[in-house]
Amino acid sequence: MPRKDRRSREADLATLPAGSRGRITGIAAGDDTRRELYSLGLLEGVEVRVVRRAPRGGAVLVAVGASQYALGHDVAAAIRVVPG
Amino acid sequence: MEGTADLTIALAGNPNVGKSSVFNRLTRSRADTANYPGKTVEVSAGVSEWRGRRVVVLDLPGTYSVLPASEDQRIARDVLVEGAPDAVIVVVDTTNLARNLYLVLSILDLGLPVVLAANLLDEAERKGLFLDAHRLAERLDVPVVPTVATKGQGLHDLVPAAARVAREGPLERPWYGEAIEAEVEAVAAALPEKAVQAGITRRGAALLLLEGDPGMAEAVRGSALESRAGRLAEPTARARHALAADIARECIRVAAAEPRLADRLWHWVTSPVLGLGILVAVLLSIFAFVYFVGGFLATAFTDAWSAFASPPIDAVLRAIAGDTVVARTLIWGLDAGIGAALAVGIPYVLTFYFVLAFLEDSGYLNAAAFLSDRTMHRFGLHGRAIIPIVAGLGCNVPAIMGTRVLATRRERLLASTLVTLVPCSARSAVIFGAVGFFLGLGPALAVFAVQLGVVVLAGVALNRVVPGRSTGLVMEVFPLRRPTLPDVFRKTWWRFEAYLRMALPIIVVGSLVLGALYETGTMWALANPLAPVVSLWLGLPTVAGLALLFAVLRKELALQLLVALAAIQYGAGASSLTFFMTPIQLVVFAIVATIYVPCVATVAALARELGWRAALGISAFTIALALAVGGLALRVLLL
Repeated sequence: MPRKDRRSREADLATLPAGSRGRITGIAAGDDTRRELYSLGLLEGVEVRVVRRAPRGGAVLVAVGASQYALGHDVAAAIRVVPG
Repeated sequence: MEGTADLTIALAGNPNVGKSSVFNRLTRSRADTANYPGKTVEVSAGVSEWRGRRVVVLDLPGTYSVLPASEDQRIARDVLVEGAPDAVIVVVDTTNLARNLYLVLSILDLGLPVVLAANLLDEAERKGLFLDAHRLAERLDVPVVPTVATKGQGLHDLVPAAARVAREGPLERPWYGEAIEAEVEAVAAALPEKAVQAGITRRGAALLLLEGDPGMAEAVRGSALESRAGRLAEPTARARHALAADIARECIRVAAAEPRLADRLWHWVTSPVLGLGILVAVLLSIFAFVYFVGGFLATAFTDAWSAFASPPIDAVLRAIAGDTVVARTLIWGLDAGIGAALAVGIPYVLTFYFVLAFLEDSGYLNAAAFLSDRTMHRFGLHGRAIIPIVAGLGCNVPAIMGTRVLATRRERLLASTLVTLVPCSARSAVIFGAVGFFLGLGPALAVFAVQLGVVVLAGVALNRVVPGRSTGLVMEVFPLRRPTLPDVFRKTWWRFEAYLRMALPIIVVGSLVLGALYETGTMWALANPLAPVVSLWLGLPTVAGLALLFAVLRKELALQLLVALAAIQYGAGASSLTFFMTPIQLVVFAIVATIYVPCVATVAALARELGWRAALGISAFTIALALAVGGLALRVLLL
């Protein structure tokens, strides 16, 4: 049985349920946003955890190392992760 | 060898690490804002003294890296990159050393002398984290001073350490691996002289360019280096974070820690239903607290002023100028003007700032931003904008300055406009005084509800019409902390002082102008030109129109002015507004007074933050909106 392609397991931080972990595989945002996220430690290969989500397309609380950040829905949607 | 020149120290650090506590305790006197040499950037500066030298401490806005993501972070970057401070004290949150070291390394990269204040040691210990300060000092090759700023521990070592490193200069600098360093070196060699700022090293300037710093990109525009801007943003961030994490791992010992109440509180406060309920409760409490405590102080103050300050001032002025127009005008400005300003300013603005500082320091406002992000999106803003908007309930002037936490001009423009539509204490006083007093609490609340509707509709409409770019929420959140009252008081006082400094001159001048127009009778000359708008469209008596027009100088005087003008026109009975105005007219008056141009102080604040064109544009917008809603309200109420 062929191994599942990594791409098909990819999700983004806006859709992952609360409590799940994942490893960032890419950030599809503008230069400014990406730079800001980099300075906070959100980089490819970093592990993140979704702490909670505000209802109906609201912001997402994400834990990276010892820090927690609130990311707007669109920003979270731009961060692609592989769950697990 | 100690010099005798000033020692300029920049105080940097992530947001919420206790930088303000350090600043407050390091500086004895406050030179509130300093125009840093040659720039128009304004930074909060404090003065101290050490071994005969004058020490100037610059309190920079909190940042995560040198590259700016918002207006106030731009200010921090400019001071570090272009201001050439003698030394930088970086205040670090010991409970999150790895992330905080990113900024420390970034500043070391610039080539600036650094002292590290390892703060929040008590918090760290509570969390089971223990810092090896010697090890950290070795790895970074900078002095590390363990501090607990809220208790004043360790702070006295900071300035001496800063003086020492300023003299010695930086030694070790971070190393990010062959590949990155090679390219940095190449760019550093190729940089034109003018692109390397006075206080930083070539390597620092090269790194800034390669990481995508907008200022550096601008400086090399048109040259061969233009293409290098931002090329190494990701690899450098990665290398720097890796180094920071490595150092932190080596210097922090982790013992077991128990789950804390603060974390559970945070969970409740950000939960969808409970959190929202708490948010509404908090907003209502703010309102109630400010209303009652502020109201109590207002009455107390007005009584005290009438008893102790008013008579001497009047007596002096009349003694100098007799019972002339000039004397009466001066009385307007110096007695009624200052008195009324303090009767609204002190009680309501001060009380409000206290509540705001308390909520900020507790970390609750971040929960509010998280919950409100989606709603703010409809207005083209994000969750953090809720803070200046709520702050507008106290006074618009500092709230507009608070929009500096937003990233793009569009967001600052939208947020500032919404702030001007939020009824400040002065306008709330008009609503309660005109509608609340004569018609009851119900109608007054209805006027507030109308105002809320106006804010929402204006927000949505402006979002569709105003061009430009908005960004998404990216905000660090903290577990709830118990605020330190001395720091809350200090923050409150500093903001209130800034408000007074800005507002008081304009208030006095505005009152004098108002007084002059009133006492010389020139005010009435405008009654006829205004008639079509005031009588036909708004259905208000002439005096109300005049009161509205001149209330732009002093919003909280709108009612007093109305009564004074009416007394001239209708006679003594006019001290009760219902004598010459119907309930509907009172409501329309209150609505129009609340919507249009808050006051000249606000226009001045808008001009300072966004430029005169934007300030006048926003003013015109609110005037048009006020007339539209006022006229509409009249017709709806007449049905």
